[in-house]
Amino acid sequence: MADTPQTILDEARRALAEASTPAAVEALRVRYLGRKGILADLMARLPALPPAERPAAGRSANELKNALTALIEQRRAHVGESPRREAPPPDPTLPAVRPPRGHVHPISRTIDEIVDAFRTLGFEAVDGPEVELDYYNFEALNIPADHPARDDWDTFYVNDRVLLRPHTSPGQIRVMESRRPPLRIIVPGRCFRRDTEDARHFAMFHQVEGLMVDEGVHFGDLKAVLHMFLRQFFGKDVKVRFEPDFFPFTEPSAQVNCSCVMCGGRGCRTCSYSGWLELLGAGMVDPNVFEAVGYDPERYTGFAFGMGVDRLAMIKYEIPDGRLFFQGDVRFLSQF
Amino acid sequence: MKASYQWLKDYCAFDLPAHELSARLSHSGLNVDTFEPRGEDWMLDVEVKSNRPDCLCHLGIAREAAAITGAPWRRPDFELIEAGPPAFEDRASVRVDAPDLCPHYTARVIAGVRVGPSPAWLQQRLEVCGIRPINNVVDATNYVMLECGQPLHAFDLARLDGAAVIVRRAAAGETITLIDGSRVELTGQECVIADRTRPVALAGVMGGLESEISDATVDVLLESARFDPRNNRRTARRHGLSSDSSYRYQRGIDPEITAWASRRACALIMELAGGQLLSGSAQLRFDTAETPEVTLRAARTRLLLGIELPTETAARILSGLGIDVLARDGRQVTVRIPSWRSDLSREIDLIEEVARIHGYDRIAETTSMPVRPSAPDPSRTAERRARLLLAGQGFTEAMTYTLIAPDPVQRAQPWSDAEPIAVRNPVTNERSHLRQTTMANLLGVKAFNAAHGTPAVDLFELGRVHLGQPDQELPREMTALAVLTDRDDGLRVLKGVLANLCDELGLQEDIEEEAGGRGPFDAEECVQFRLNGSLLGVAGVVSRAIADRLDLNTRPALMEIDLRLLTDNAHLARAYRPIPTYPATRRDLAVVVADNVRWADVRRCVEAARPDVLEAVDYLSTYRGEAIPAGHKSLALALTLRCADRTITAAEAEQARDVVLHALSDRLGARLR
Repeated sequence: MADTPQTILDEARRALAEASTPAAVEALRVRYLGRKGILADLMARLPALPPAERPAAGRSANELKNALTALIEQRRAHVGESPRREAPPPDPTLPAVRPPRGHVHPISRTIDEIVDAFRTLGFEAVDGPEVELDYYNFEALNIPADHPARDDWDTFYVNDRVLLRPHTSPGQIRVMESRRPPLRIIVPGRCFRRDTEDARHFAMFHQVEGLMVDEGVHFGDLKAVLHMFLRQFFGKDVKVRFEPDFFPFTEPSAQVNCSCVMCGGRGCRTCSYSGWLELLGAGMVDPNVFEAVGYDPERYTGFAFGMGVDRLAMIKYEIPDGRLFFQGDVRFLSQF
Repeated sequence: MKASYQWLKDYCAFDLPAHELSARLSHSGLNVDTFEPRGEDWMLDVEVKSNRPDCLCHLGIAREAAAITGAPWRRPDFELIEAGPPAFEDRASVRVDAPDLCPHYTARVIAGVRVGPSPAWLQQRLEVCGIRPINNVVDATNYVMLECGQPLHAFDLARLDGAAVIVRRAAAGETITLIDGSRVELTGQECVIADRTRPVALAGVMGGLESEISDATVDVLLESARFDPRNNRRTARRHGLSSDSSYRYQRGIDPEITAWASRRACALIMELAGGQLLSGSAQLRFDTAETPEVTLRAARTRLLLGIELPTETAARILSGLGIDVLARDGRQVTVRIPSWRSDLSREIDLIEEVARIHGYDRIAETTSMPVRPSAPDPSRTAERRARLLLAGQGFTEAMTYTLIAPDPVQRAQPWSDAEPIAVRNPVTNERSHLRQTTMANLLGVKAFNAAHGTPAVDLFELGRVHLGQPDQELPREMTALAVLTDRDDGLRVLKGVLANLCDELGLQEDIEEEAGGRGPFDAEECVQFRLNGSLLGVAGVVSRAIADRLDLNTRPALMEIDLRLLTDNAHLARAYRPIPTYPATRRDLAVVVADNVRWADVRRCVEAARPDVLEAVDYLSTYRGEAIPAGHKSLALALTLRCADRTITAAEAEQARDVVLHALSDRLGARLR
């Protein structure tokens, strides 16, 4: 009866244990794994087997080969000194072969950073619909029909009651309708306006809306939260300036400016040489909004804010033209 | 609104250079976008928000300047001498038939004017404000509008049939030619100024061509009136008209300035164009002049602003804004709102006034806030994991437009039979409908990159698609994940991507796969996936026709799944599963089957044969050629066999392999190669 793989392996193991020089190990390698070695012989006999046995025999021959190779390598390492190779010398300076690597879009990345920053401040991210009812987008936000304030949002309409949201503020209303205070939420999402596109105006863009409502929330809290956020988002301390502004759904309302992160406030192209970046709109929630969702404005106070994600990403990553975001050019996308 | 720096100084004696005035106004809420020199003067471009129509004039801006500088504010003095007889009523008649659309109408007549150019000082002021000088009468009306915010209109009295002014609703089908030359057909909703026979002006929007002031005008009828803001806005929008008058009427004008403006404009017209003011006038008013009393509580101010602001300070700020303080004690201030501040009616409105003049920078930032834990949203977490997983596997995220043109590629989607939702007022036909798939856009990105020197790309997009639903106002917004690859064997790669995604999200259910699926695919090379019976997605190789349409040299593989269906079934928490104690053994098989036998059939057959010891069946390769009959192929597969409670013996493995082989032979006509 021919040697079984197991007996071959047992015999090799015994022989290797006695081989104490590299030459002896090499001799054993030739005996077992060489071109005319025991394993080659075993392989040569495979085609003679009945077809049904061939795959199994082949399989066990392969297993044997692996086991023998491992044993010999092990012993070789033990007795030291690598054997002479006949192969040409390797060139370890050949260039890298990079496994494929993809990239997350800079807008997604920026939204994640904003969501993470606000999470540390206890804000929970929620979604709202991109196609929205006029009621949530305008009416409940204290912007009645035929009011000229509507001109500030050049809106796409599907019909008289349905529109593409031009801001993420309707998200506030949807959350307040379904929950009671205390609330700390942000609503990131895609928005649409009938803007003619250029480097800084887009018919499609992204915003993050924020809302905090509780007993005793005041303007000083709003200043603190936005200052903390901007510091965290830009990774450095920034000066923050609040200036009066008007939004129908907040009062008092503010435009929030941040000292230019590019030039530190000295003036540069990014800040149009003003030293300041206009980054957010914010304010204390208007009592009419609380009444629209059934909160008692004498009991609860709160603040809301909104920021343009695309603009924040453009500043943070020094992107000169926002149209690059949606073109899909991988020479752009692979930079992030 | 563009304002003249020198002009503002007529009404408020502030001592600030233009740049400093601009900065101070901006810091207190009246944002000056730019200021530019205009000869000796400066033009201030003031951004007046829709809540502050009182600042759409120089007197209003000067009032703000007075409030922030403390300098006194005054209205201009003028003298108005009426001549007479004839009296107004001898020469003209006024009737208001639509008091709901016109709560206040006044008219005066100046006889014997000499129409000609205005003096240089007036022309210069108008030009600083961006208004083209026309003639002395029209310029006077524009000047007074820019001064006090009241739009005015001058009619050539001789052109009014019957010397009559009738303020009424338009009749449907009536037409009027406006001063810009456009001809407008009226619907019947508009408020018009008419004479005895026809409309002569679209009230508060634009005057009519036929009654406008010309060089031949001798007698002028001057209108100073107030029209309903909503109706005015609808009229302007309906007919695509905009004017300085309409802009102001829509936002609301000071109801107490109308009569003053009429007198002021008449005085100015006579100063510039001569003529005599007839005695008497039309003064028709249908509403009352009440303005509200509002009380501001110190405690409420503290609650909202977080700072202590004595009622004394609040009262000083409010009266600086021209608001009458009626009463004050240590706890509250009661005021009467002036007629020009229609934006103030509630306590919160006063708190804002106090806060902005006091200065937002004097409101202290809270130094510590109570901590509140926030729960991460599982679907957001899942989406983020999906993005990172795909990027880690070589796919780059694209973001494309939600608005699309509904071409055949966009329509190739599995999700809905409804028509794509159209936007009523698109900017371009290229972006007119809401997308129902992200696959078409991703193919567009692929084509863009192919045309820009990056032929091989692996892409994904994670975004919403909008699917119309019967009986629902809002569409279903599905979070779609589309993946595109140029790699060899792309469809199998995409299935692998899906499998990895399911692993990452801890999906416990099996995904069912069947041949065929709707998408931009070759009909022979696509599949669809189901999860718990619902359509999870489709994948396939892009059809030749669509690849040609997009000028692609290759046919990429493309997949789209309903990501929310996956994430809703996700188990994001990890749990340990025991590692097998006993070793597995592997048996490889090569079987010859007919060409139409699919791997899925083979896999199902193998899995059913010996489920007790079969751990996995893996596809190895397909071979056609020598020794394989025509119409057949050889499939190589590997069986992984394991017993849970002991090491599987060689005999058991052989026996399992034989059972599998028999099953394949019985069910699929396979034979061992």
